[in-house]
Order: sequence, then structure tokens, then C-alpha cells
Amino acid sequence: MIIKKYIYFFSLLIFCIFIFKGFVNFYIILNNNYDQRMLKYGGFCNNYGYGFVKYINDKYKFNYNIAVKNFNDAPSPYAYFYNINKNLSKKYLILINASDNDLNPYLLRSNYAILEKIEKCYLVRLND
Amino acid sequence: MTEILLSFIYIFVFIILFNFPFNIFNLKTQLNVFKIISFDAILLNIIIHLNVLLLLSFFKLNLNIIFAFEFLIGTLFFIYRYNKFNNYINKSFLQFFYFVVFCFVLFLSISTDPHLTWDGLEHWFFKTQVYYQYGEYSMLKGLPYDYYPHLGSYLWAYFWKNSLINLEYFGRYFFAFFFVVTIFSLTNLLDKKFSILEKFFISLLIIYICTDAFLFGGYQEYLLFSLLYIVSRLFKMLIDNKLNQIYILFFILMTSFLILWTKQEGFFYYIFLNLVFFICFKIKLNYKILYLLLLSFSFLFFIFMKINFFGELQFQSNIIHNSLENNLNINAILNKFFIICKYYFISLLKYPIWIFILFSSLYLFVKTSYFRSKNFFVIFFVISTLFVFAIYLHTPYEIKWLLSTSLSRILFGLSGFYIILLIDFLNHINKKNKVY
Repeated sequence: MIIKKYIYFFSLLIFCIFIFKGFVNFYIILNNNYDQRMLKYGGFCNNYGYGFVKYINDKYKFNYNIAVKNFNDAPSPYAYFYNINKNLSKKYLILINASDNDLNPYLLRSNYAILEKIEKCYLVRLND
Repeated sequence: MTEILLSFIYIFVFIILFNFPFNIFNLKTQLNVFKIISFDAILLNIIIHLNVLLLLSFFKLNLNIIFAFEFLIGTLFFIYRYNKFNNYINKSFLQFFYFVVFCFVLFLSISTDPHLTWDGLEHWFFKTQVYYQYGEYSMLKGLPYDYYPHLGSYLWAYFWKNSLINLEYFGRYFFAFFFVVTIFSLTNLLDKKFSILEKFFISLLIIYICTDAFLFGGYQEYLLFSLLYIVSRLFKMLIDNKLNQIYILFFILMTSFLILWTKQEGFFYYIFLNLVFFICFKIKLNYKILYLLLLSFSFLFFIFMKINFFGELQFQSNIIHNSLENNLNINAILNKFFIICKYYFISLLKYPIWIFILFSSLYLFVKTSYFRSKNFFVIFFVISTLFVFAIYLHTPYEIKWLLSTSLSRILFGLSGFYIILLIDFLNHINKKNKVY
């Protein structure tokens, strides 16, 4: 009787975890740390461009918040890196997945120069 | 592994935090207020805590210190009530166990995909960042959508800041916890004739059909859903329990105050809920006067804070705008109306909980006199539906885009108010089956 109760109890538990993809999620978390998961779902140059913006922020350690323009059909990851003690930079700009057509107005008309480029993601600086 | 372990521990952190002032481990307590059982007590505790946190959010206070203080009191209460906790576990182990399991699987799903979704990132997360970085209310000014209420973002920052490993998504666990408590409180209303297995499957079904990983990505809909459920539950108590109305009134007031600070539409729900309250409930005159005074005070406080810090009470679109003259054209209005109807229907299908609610309502309406005594459901439904149509008829934005991105979420939030109908329907059916 007790064994039957435990089997019943255990089956419900497994069922519950299974339908909420608990096992898959457990596996994903165990095999990927937070940054890897953020990169997987937030994208490097695709999706939010989270990876590229993080890479730029880690590399340059700006004293400003750098505006991010995302040309993907996704929101800008700017809020992730928003620091309340820093002002918004008027000089630097990050462009995510910018095609040539998206990029040209910045380079030609607004006098920006490319500082960093990975795939179609750019860090650009306004020339003085 | 640390993240998984801490996610699991966080369930108990929430339980300890919200185990006071009302004792959550009594299976049935007469608190001189109303009969409450464990999950209802957690909900009432959450309402009290959120009101305190909301008031603290206007001051520049260290979130770690507030948390430490709250957790210390919670721990002392827990130790003091440890015997009752043991009793509770002995008697309701299965229920508690499944509660922990449901919380844990939802926490894992948030943890697996920690990235924020659209509005979470564009609207709400800036406010969260301000509070997370020890900012204060006045610093919200100038942020994108700064006029949006900040309660959800503050709670997000509060639990993120106190997550030990400082991972952002821990802040969003609270919304999942609150949601699961809501559903367990709901299924506790099921008749005693329902077996534990039946209750388990009903909880599972409701949680399953209401869970949307997208909305856990920083949206405030689950917060609104749970708060609206609490209001409808309190309204129902007010009808069923003629004694101690004053306590219920206080909780209605506190919950509606939280709704006011949750989302933009919360401003309107706050007005509608209180309108429904004054229309539908017969309360002693002195209670009504006291309620009205406190209500006016809370509303004026909201207006004062908005005007004082942001200069005006602002909404996403101005009440008067250039596109309004298009609404004078009857064809344009009809066209918009049919588009809204179409998307309304699609949105109802997106969250199937609405199918269950509508079916339950229809049954209760046709087969019983349920809505005669509980007409607040009907009145709120009429007002909120008119409101939803009014928003989209009024909007200056492209209507199809707006409908496809927001209507389903508005309806999901609202479903919290009516979800109790599903349980009353099941109780009625069950009673009927036992009789015949």
C-alpha cells in the first residue's frame, strides 16, 4: 500500500516537472552559465545584440552610457547596461545588425567613424 | 548548480518573508477577520508587505537593509510558529510539496531563458536599474516611459538586489511566486468533496494554461492578475461575510492602491473597482464614509506624487489628439469596432483561461442565480470591456499593430478578476453530481 502511494506520488511529480519542461530546463541551466544563456537567447549580433554590447562595454569601460540602435526586430539592450551615475554619450553609438543602407547615413552624413566591427554590429564615434 | 540550488532556496525565502503578520501555517484560522487558510494568509501578507514596500520606494533607502529587516522579522515569526509549521506539513504535506514543485518549475523556466522581452526591457527595466543601483524615486524622471507606475520595477529590483548571486532574473521570481500562491488560494476554494488528486489536476491545468514565459520576461501582467484576483475574492467575502466588514474594506483599499501603482491601466481599474464597490455593496454608512476618505487620500497621494515628480499625470497618448476627428466618421468607427472585435476574439483564444471563464459564467448565468447576488462581476465586466474598446477606438497609433501587441495582455491581466468563477462553477457541478 505504501509503495503504491509512493509510486503515485512520484508519478505525479514527474508528470508535473515534465509538462513544464523542468528536466530540459534543468539540463540547460546545468550546462550553460548565465552569460552563455543570455548570449543564446539575447544573441550576439542577432536578436537583441546583447553579446556585442556586453563585449564593447567590457572592452572599453566607458564613463558614459552608450546608446544602442538595434536594427533587428527586437528591443535595444541599452537598459541592461544603463548606469544611473553616467551620462549618455553624445560621441559614441552602438549599431546592432546594421546593413550598409543603415550604416551609410551615420558614416556619410553624420560624420561617424567605425571603431569596432563584428559581423554587422558596429561601435561608431562622432568625429570632432 | 548554484543557480538551481538558490532558485530552490528562494521559494523558502519567500515563504519566510511572507509568513507574517498573519500565520500562514494554520490550516484554518479564525482571525477575528475572516476564515483564512494558508495560501489566503500568504496573499494577505503579501498585500501588507507590498503596501509597506510601495511607501518605502519613495524614500532613498538601502534595499539590502530593508530586506534584512523584513527577513529577520520573518525568521523570528517562523521560529515562533515552528510547531505550527510542523503540524501544517504533517497534515498538508502533499499540498505544500506541490506548491514548492510548481514554484520551482516556474523559477527554472525563468532561469533557463533569462533574457527580457519587449516591454520588460524597453519600459520597466530602466526603473528596476534605478532602484537596483540605489537610486530613488525622483531619478525615474527622464527615463523612457517614466510616467509608468513603478511598483513592479521596485519589487523586481528589491528581490534582485537580495538574491545573493546578483542575477537579474531572481527579481522576477516574485511574480511567479505570487502567481502560484494565487492559484493555490483559488483551488483551496474548491469544495471538500474534491479529492486531493482532483485539486492537484485543477491547479496544474490552471497554472499550465495561464503560464506564458513571455510575460515573465519583465511584464507586469502577473502582478495585475494576482491583485485583481484578490480584489474579486475580497468582494466575494464582503457578500458572504457580513461581519468584520471593516477588515475586508481595508484590504480592498490596500489592494486597489497597489493596482493603481502597477500599470497605466491600473489607474482606470482602480476607479472602476471602487465604482463597482460603491454601486454593488451595502455597507454601513460610517464604514463607507471612512472608506471614501481613505480612498480619496490614496488617490490624492498618487496624483500629488505624479505631479510633484513628473509635472503632470501623463498617459501613453494624450486624451485629446489630432486623430480624434477621424472618430467622427461613422464608417471609420465601425471599421475600428469590427477590427477590435476580431482581435478581441483572437486574444481570448490566446489565453484559454478565458474560454473556461466564459463557459463557467454562461453556465452560472443560465443554470443558477449566482450573478443576482454577485452582480459585481457583471458590472466590472461591462465597464472593463467598454474601457478596452474605448482605449483602441481612441488611440492615435496604428490600431492593428497595437491590438496585436497589447490586447491579449490586457485581457490576461483582467482574467484574474473572473477566475474565481471557474471554481464556483466546478463547486456547483460537483455538488449537483453528488446530489443526483
